[in-house]
Amino acid sequence: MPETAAKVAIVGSGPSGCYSAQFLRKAWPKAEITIFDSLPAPYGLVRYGVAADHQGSKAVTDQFDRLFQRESVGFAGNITIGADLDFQTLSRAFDVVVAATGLPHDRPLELDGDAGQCLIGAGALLRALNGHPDMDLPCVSEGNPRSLGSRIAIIGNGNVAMDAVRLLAKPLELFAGSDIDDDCLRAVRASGVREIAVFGRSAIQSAKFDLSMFKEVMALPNVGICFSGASDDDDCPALAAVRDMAAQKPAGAVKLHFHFRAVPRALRQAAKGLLLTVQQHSSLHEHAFDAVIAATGFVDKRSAGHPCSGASWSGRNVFRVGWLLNGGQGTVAANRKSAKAVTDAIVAAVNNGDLPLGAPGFAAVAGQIQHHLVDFEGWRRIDADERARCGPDRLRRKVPDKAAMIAVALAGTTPAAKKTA
Amino acid sequence: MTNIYFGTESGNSEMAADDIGAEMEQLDRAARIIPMESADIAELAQQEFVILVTSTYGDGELPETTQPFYDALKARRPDLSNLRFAAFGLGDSTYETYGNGIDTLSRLMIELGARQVGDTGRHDAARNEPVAAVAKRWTQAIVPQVADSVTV
Repeated sequence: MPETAAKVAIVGSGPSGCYSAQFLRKAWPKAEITIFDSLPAPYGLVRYGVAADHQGSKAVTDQFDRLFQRESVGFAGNITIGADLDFQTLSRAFDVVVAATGLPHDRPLELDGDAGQCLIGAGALLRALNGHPDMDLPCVSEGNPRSLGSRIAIIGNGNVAMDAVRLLAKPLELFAGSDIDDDCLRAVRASGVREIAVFGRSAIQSAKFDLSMFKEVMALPNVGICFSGASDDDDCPALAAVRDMAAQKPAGAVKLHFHFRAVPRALRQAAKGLLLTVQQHSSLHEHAFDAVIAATGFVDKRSAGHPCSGASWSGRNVFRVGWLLNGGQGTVAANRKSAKAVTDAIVAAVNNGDLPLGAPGFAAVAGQIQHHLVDFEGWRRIDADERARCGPDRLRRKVPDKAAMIAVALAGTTPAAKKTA
Repeated sequence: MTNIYFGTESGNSEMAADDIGAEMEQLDRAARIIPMESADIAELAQQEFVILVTSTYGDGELPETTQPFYDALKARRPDLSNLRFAAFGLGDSTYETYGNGIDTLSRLMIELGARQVGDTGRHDAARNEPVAAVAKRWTQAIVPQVADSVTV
């Protein structure tokens, strides 16, 4: 075991970053560990990806809070590596850099045609419904997303697609106890959603959704269910479930149609919305929608070498984890496994001398970023503010504006009083 | 010394196990936290009292680190008639299979002859009460019941 305490920088405070901190703290009780995040609020996709009505899945933040409150891990929020602090400086200041920056963009659809503003990414939608400060939906005016209309298509049928269906179909009163961004929710549903069609290219037995998510959506009280592209040969629990639900509730205020073995081929604007051409049942079928949501995974669309892109960062002491490493696979638990595997490798590398220690750590960069950073106490002020400003049926009301978040974080502090962690 | 075995996917059950252990220490009972994937079934069978902590995963299934523990018990079928156990489950009542994980494991323990002490503790993630609070309350209720029947 090395005598010197390791100096670790983790970039990204989502699950893979926080789990990495957890495992490294267990291995190295004396290491200096700092987690950087470009937002003033931590926790990444737990806060902005996990759906607002899945608060149970957000409960992992209790574990992560302990890192900062009990385990002496530092939070350096509102610091964008590649902008506020360049990567090379970071990499030289720390013994170990863990890149846990995830994948910020929806994978573009490979479809012929042009859908303009009526095509949006599911990740962008979920982030907006989660009150993300960089709201990225087409808007009618500043900060006001346009309605998605009454007939919506979702391409892809993984868990993100199921989240999108549920958030667009669910009766508004069932959002009690959530932290949904109500302004965004009302805006995108302003026309009254009547129909949601989900297109998955695979057979039902290979569909990427978790069965529990599929069942949850079908169990909504206001939906009618139908499906196509599945037969007796596709025998599986999902088929049994959808057959059962389609028989029990073929009609409802919101029609959900699950298409399996359906491959979208073209999308074009038409007089009254969009026409989506889908290859299914051995021929091409045209469907009309007001909006199309792409839920086919996540990527980083920034060009290679972009200073803020985790994909551009390399070096002997740089380790990727989570979605950045695996291309966007898996939910919270899968990223815990990723963090365990990567941190095991880091510890092994230090133990067998492949990774030397002795870098100065946070002190070497503090001067450059101290005036700018939001620490964990600052986040707690944001957290308290959000819980205080919401109505009785909401858990919190997020401020979807970075400058406003920072102002709350820094309220009542002076530069001299700010601490690193 | 009480062994607290946990199986987890998200780390929440490990946190609950840590909190149960911490509360036991507060109540002057020594505790040892053991991940189920490292559990020694033969050692388990020799205990007088253990605590089991697990969540439910996927469609009512056991977490990845609980499953092998369950499978090993099922395969080896140790005689647990001298064993008492307490059970704490984590789940999310958003899903219809809420609490299946701990119940499935408890049923097997009972089938193998073990006797359950007290009620199964349940943390419901959908109810926004921190795990620490629920775990502490449950531990405080369980420990006196154990002291009555077993040397801890």
